[in-house]
Amino acid sequence: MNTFLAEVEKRAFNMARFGVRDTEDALDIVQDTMLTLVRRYGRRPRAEWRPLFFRILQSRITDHHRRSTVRRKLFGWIPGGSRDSGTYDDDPVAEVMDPGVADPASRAALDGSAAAMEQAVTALPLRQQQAFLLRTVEGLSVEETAQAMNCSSGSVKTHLSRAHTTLRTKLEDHW
Amino acid sequence: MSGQNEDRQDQDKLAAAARRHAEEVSPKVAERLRAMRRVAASELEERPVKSVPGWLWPAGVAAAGVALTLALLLGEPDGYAPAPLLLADTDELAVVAELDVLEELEFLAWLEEEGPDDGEG
Repeated sequence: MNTFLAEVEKRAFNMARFGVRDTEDALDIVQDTMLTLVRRYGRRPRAEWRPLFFRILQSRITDHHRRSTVRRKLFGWIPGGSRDSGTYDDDPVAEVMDPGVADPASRAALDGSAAAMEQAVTALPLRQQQAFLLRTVEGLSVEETAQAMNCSSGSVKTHLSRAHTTLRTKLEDHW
Repeated sequence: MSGQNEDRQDQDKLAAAARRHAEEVSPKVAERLRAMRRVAASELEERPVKSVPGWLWPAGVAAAGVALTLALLLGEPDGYAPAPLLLADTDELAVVAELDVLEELEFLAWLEEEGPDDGEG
């Protein structure tokens, strides 16, 4: 289990950070995912861990988004009440990544193209982002991705195609 | 065809760049992730395997058999009586039956008074 978690922990953290846009929240999500995997599925065969781990992770990220949306709807009328680390579906300006959100040390280590990649992936709508990270970066099959995202294989392909188109357009200057 | 190849190449470049970036974390975050992993992994080692000992299976089956036998043998307890509500229902049914008989007798008496039908409408 230790070896498996060591393999996926950094990618899982970045996946969560892209999704929730907050380092502390992302760390909490990864910790919760690790513990849930160990407690519920630790005795399962090792081959099952990866899809299960990412399924739990995506579920936690989606839950975080839902909670943020509810919080925003409840407290949105208060000036500053909606300013949390969630998503901003109806505010295009807020879609631009806040440079202060990411860890300064990690940001300093990034070169221009990596920073552009981070910004482009973070700005993707959540479902497109999940499809791209699980399928393209993590290398899960379409079926495993669909399971992790709790949707159909067709939806995964649609989200993935849109994500690729957006990223290609945004990142073509960096290649 | 060349357009598809370019698309493919673009996707591969994109995937490679994203994979490289996905592994990048600050030393501070890396340390925290290591600590979390250690806690999670140690929890798995500490948890006992939840398996039922082999000798418990026959004992469980025997206990279930005894319980079933006792339930069948004892059945309903002695002195079992229907609920009062059911008795009341029976009384009501009896009254209704008596009324039907009375109505029938009245009808027969009326028929006799009317006399035999002479078929003249």
